[in-house]
Amino acid sequence: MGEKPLKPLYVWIAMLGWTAAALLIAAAARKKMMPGASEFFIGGRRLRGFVSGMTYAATTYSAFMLVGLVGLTYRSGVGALGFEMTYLIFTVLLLVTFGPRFWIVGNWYGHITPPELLANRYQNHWVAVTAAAVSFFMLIPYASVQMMGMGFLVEGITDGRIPFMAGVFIMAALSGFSALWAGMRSVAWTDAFQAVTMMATSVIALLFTIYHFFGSPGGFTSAAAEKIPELLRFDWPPELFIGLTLPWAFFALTNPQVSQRMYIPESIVSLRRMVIYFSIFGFLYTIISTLFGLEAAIIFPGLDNPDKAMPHMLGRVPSLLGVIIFVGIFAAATSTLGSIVLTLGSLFARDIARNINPQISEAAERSMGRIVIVFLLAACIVFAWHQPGLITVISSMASGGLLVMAPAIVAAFFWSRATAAGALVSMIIGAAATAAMYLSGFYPLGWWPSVWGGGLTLILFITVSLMTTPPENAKQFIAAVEKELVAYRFRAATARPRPD
Amino acid sequence: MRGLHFLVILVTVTVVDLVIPYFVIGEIASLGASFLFWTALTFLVIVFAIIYTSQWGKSP
Repeated sequence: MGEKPLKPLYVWIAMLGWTAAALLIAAAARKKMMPGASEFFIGGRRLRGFVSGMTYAATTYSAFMLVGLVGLTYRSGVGALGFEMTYLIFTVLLLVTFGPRFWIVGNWYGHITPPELLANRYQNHWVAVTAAAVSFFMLIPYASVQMMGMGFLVEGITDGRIPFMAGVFIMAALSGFSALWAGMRSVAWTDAFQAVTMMATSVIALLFTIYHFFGSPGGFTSAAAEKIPELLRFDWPPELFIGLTLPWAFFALTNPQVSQRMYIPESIVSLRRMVIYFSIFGFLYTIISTLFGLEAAIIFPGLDNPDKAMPHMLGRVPSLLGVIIFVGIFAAATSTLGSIVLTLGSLFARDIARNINPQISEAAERSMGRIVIVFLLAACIVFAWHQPGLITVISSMASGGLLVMAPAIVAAFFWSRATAAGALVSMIIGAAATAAMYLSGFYPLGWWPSVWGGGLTLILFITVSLMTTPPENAKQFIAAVEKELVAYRFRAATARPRPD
Repeated sequence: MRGLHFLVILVTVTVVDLVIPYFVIGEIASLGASFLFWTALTFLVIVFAIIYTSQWGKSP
């Protein structure tokens, strides 16, 4: 089958029709919304397991999966699967270990953002301000790249007949309305719709392409062994594999848009379901994405730009299927963007504005969060419009830069000697060093900035903590959490009152 | 999960995750080698999580 662009009319119908469906869901979510900052930013901690799991999945898995990961597999083979599966393994283990801890402490103290937990544990509000600032610095470019990716995709699959900025604006509008309308509840509900869309469309597309191009799954495996044996071998240098994987391995803790989701399940049973549904989703979606990359490498080898493997695939399947795959990618990108701007809105209201003026009302926090969301989307549109070359570098450092929060978060629950000074020094110097290395392209001995930055952060955190005095409540905080973890194994899954 | 248990499991899985593909099966040009290995390892971790969390929230 030859390659042909998708008809713009089909793409418009798909984008606008699907956007309308998502907005209807967001409107329905608003009817359930109650007053309060907790209600707006984390759905009042009343989300059930399926919605929690799907919003976690849709937030985590962006357009990177069906565009970037497909391209990475196309270019470098099964190492891409190893990288993504290693991320998933870490995330599952981190969620099993830290999910209950975040959930219990969040319920006790009414935390809404992850930095609030750090401020509470380290008894220092500057820790929260710093964590929020690092998150803003790293995640705004990352969110902009989501928009740019969608603009390029829309433009590419229609041969330029739908302009780049049309994709950017529609994505911004859907993400914005979803987040502004009813906060976390509308984002989570639309995320669930988007996650189901992502999974259904990718499964349909994979089955079609396997049978259409190879006749059967057996035909695909034979063709892979015969035509792309080099991609089935694992030959990534350790510097590449570890440099790429390390920041993503701790993504579940360091990225506030996902760690905040550990607060949202209505019960420990819902928390468990969130972990399980997300794990199964991630497992299937990763396999599907990498299989697309291998298929593409067999069907049309030799692309100069591997990131165009999926757009090329869209041009080689029937129009209806091409539109279906496109909707799945659009869903992945918008759900990630909506979640990021909502979380950053909550970080500004709770961790920055509230620390400046502790008397601020919850209604004002919600309003402030909404204003910040609008500003963030506007900033992302401006970034996307100008398409600065630097933004790609900045966005790639997002996960590496956020890694600097990992020691402080892990130690909050496990090391009573950890101090606010250790957290502050390690986050500030670690983030600055990691950003400087990414921006200058300085990779000492071939190892990635995330590895050097992560190592420096860990050393600074331990050294400074040992040189300073931990907060008085540290031991009690950790002991109380551990005691409650044991208790929850035997008691009904309901939120418990804060201990004395 | 207790911190020590988490650390032991994480380190063990990470070592297996890296050592097998790098030193044992990385050179094999088949979907039944590294591709299957990482898929199976992740599947086992998810099964472990499902079993481990089955006690969450249950009455004694």
